[in-house]
Amino acid sequence: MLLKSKKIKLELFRDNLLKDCRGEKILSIYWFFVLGVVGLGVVWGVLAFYGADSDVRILEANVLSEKLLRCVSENENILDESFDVFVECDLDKNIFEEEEIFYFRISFLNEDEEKLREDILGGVYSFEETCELTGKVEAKEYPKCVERGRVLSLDSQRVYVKVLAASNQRGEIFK
Amino acid sequence: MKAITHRHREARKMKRGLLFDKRGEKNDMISPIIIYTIGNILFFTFLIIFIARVSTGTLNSEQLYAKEIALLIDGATPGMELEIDFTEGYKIASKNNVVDLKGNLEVTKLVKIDNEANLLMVSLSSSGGYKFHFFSDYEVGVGFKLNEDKIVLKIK
Repeated sequence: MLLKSKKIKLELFRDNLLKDCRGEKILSIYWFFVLGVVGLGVVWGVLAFYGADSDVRILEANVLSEKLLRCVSENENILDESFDVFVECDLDKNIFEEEEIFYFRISFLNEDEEKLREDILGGVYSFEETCELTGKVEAKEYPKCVERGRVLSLDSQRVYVKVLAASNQRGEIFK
Repeated sequence: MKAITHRHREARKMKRGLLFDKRGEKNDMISPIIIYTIGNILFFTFLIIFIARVSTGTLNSEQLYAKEIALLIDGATPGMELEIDFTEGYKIASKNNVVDLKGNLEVTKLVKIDNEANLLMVSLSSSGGYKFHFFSDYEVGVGFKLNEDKIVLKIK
């Protein structure tokens, strides 16, 4: 008799769950959760199939280093402390200071590898450390760095100019 | 017999509960169904628009053009005039109906340059696009050669 009553209660509970509004609400929340998961899966799949991300950071670092070297080679007052790299090399100071996507360092050395003047720096200084790690550690988010040098002849003095340029610009989709 | 009576009583109670709430008012069952349907329609609409945009190559082309143009600007020197082949861009924009009121392709919307912010924006659809910075402090003017499917950049 007790078992029978329990069975009836169970049946009533099951019927209640199917007919009651609360059950419907639970189902709709669950349904939206499923939609979210399916949506994310579809977006991820479509992006993986069609949206091959083109990474031009290394090219950008190359262009920046080449531009700096070309500019430094064309100027004769590079060893003056008053030499403003942003003005002389047509670089936008705001982009380097505000956007946090670029970095450069220009070093001027003599034949004995002694510094002829203070290094010229611009952009995000912390990129310098991450640039050193490149090659040792693989990380997608690290900036891409390019280092190149050139020997210049200034007032019968040989100046070895070393440029390190880095970029971490990925671009952005806007709505 | 007792158990069946009990079951019937419970079923009657439940039936009352489905149609009436505790205060005895009728339950509003229509609004949750409408919200549920609208939610589903919105979800699938956004999903289909997204897939359509990506599969036509809009996102990819916007990104590629933005990056290519920015690199060209940075590599250029003042006084240069650059011509870039934009055939694919025009094709995609036509497909996406980026047209003005007269039905012509609204070319000025395709590539925009904000010289103050050093920002380049490429948009090949009616909404959204891709933006990319260039680091050179140049004044860049954009021109369009529609008959040759090219865009022209004037660097000052």
